[in-house]
Amino acid sequence: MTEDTIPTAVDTIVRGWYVVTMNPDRDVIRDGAVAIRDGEIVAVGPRSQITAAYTAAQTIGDDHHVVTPGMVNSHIHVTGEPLTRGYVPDDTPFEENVFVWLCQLYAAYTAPEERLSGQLAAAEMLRSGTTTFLEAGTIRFLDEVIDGLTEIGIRGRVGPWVWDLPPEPDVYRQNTDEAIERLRSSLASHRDGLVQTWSILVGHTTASDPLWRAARDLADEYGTGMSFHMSPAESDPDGFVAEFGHRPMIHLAELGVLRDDVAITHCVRVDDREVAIMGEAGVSVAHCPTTALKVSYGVTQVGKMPEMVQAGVNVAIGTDGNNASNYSDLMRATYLVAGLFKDARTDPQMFPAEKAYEMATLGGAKAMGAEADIGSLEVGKRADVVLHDTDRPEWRPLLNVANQLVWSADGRGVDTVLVDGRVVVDNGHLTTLDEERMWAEAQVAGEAITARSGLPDKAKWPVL
Amino acid sequence: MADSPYPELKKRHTMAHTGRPWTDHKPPSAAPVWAAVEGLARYHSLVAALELDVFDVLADVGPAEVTPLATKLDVDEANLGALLDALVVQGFLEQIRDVYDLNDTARRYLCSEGAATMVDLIPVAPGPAENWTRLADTVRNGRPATPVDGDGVDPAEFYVPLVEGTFTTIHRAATRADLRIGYSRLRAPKVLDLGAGGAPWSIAILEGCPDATAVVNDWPGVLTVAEAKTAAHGVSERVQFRPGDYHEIEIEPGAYDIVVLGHVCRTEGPRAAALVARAFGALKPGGRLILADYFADNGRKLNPHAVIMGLTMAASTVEGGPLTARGVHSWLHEAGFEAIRMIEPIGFQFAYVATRPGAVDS
Repeated sequence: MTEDTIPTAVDTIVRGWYVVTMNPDRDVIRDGAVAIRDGEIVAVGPRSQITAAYTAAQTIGDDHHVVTPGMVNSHIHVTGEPLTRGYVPDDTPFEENVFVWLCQLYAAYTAPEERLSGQLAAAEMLRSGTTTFLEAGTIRFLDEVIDGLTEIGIRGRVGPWVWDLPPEPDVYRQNTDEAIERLRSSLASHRDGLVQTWSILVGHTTASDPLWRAARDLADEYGTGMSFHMSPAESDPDGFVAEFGHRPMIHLAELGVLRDDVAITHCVRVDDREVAIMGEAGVSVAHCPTTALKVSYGVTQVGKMPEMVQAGVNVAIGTDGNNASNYSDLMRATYLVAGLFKDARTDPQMFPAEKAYEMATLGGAKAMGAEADIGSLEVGKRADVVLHDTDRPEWRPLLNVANQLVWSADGRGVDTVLVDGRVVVDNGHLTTLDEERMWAEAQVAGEAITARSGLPDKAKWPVL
Repeated sequence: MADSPYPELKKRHTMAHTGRPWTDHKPPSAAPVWAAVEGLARYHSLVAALELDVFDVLADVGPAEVTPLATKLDVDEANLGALLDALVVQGFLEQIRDVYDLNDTARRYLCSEGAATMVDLIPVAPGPAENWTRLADTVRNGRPATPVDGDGVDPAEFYVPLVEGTFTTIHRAATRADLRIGYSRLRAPKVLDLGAGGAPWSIAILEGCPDATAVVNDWPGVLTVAEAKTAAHGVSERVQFRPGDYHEIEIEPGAYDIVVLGHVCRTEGPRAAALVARAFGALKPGGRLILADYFADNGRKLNPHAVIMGLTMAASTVEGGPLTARGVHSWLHEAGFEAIRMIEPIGFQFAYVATRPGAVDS
């Protein structure tokens, strides 16, 4: 570059003390910058070079910011739970947790409440540095939720509640044809924009074989990936063994469901043969450590996430629903991912901070089939960028940025967030919505939903 | 698991329950039909055992074979054996070889001195037996032929034994509710108990708050039970009895810290909303309503206890029927209440607690 080179106009230049690129070499650029035009990253490099080569309509970031890619939450329920966060007692076993408490609470939501719920979940994710999410396929009012998510400006893939076996709750009851049609119509709509639909089933033991096959075919037809829950507890393997004589991954492989575009949530109770099948198929797993801990899945005792990684499974991270983990801050979940297996295997080399952060960014992107677009700060990718404020006690002194991101910091230090080049969080607050109004509306809606759900308040401390 | 609000639901969610619809042609089990057919026998075997003092005598003499037990009870030995076996298979007694003994359920609920005795409740809980035999007519006609609350019927005739029978259970629930809502922390609270029956809620609150006072309402004949119960619990000096129809009696506006609607709304039908609004008007700002009853889930199929209670009300009352959580919530919300929540002080007993907006009057 010569002195008389005319700088190229871009929309935004993001500057930082460190730029954590997550590129193939995992370069961390001290005094770095990122140039963004039309929502796309056009340059990443030393600040001096970027500012010399580009002139920007706006410049964001300063010497106290660490710049990272937006994180990718590979499993979250944005409806049903955010507005009933914490209502489910923390001493309920898995089946009661899901089928007695959660299903009834989900069923009590109205369309405006689901829309608000999605926005609350998105607000929590964005403000803690998550810019993209894969939803759990448990939305009832899809159009309203997508509208709300689009308004707030997050990137995501979502799906309607699809199953064909459970008879209750009434509002989710579907026969096989209805379930397939529900999935097909959702995939046919919402093909554009930041929030699009995916081929997602509730999973577990709630789908018939024809529905599994249809979901697979629809994923192929519409060019999406596929996602579902499986084997957080023994009830799923037990159910498959009772019905088919073998465990879930074997059955799903036989059905042709498992491929490298499949993201399976939980997978705590899988055996070695299943791990091998998953690795061979190249599936992704959404590991939800917070849920495993709270709902006592036994992940530290029987989880095989290290073996999955060795077998070639892409393990990503999810925060799940707000009654199973109670928060949607992926940084806190990443901390657990880095730590759980260190302790479980008494092996400090399990999931180093660098690997854990890779799972939270590139791993999530791969799980969503979006590794060409997001997950790192590289030229040609979409500009999903997070600026962490290091003028905070947990960030100082900053001597090892990966350790700091995973072991010291959490989402509270997130200062600015860009999704697709648009600033959606500034100085720690949303730019797209009135936060104060959302907090108030969430409180009113949460109290109404729980009160009319018919489920009792099990809080053990007296409320005076 | 027993703490689950809908324990039955867990058995019904998976493909193991539904079967694979495209391959599973097994006929359904007849178990639900037989359960219904046996229902009468199950209930009356329990009632007979209570009437014969089977549980209390076993508590007194300890494990026993049928022969000495028949002698002690002065009953036919063969028929007692049949009854005892029926109690065993229902889970009310233990049996080891030929020796019968109380189990934990019987000790707690079926003995007169049990910690949570239901001995007086069991005979009266389903309502008049003859109304069940005429249920088809009631469904046809939209009202029972002999409602317990019909015109010209003395309310005391049905409700006195009912409120006497339910007192122990509801009083225990009301006492335990303090652990959820902390009414004993209030200073000199004023309580209004509408349709109080034996006043189990007022008595529990008065026992929990030594400086509390209560206005206790019910029909004149029923109020005699409240007078006796409050006297027995040593709180009658702090109670003003106010007989009459709770839709019509005079109520001081904005005067009470707690209003209780204990197991009355399910008899009211559409008039319950007005009753809830009356309760709202009676409360001070910051005061709380306790609305105890049996609330069916919104789909009216997951909580059999509350659903059957709804049918029980339809079988024997003019306006009564099932309550759903969504319906009760709408009454509370429309009346102006906030901080609406449902608590479960003890198993099978639920109560909505809702606050009238405004500052708490300290």
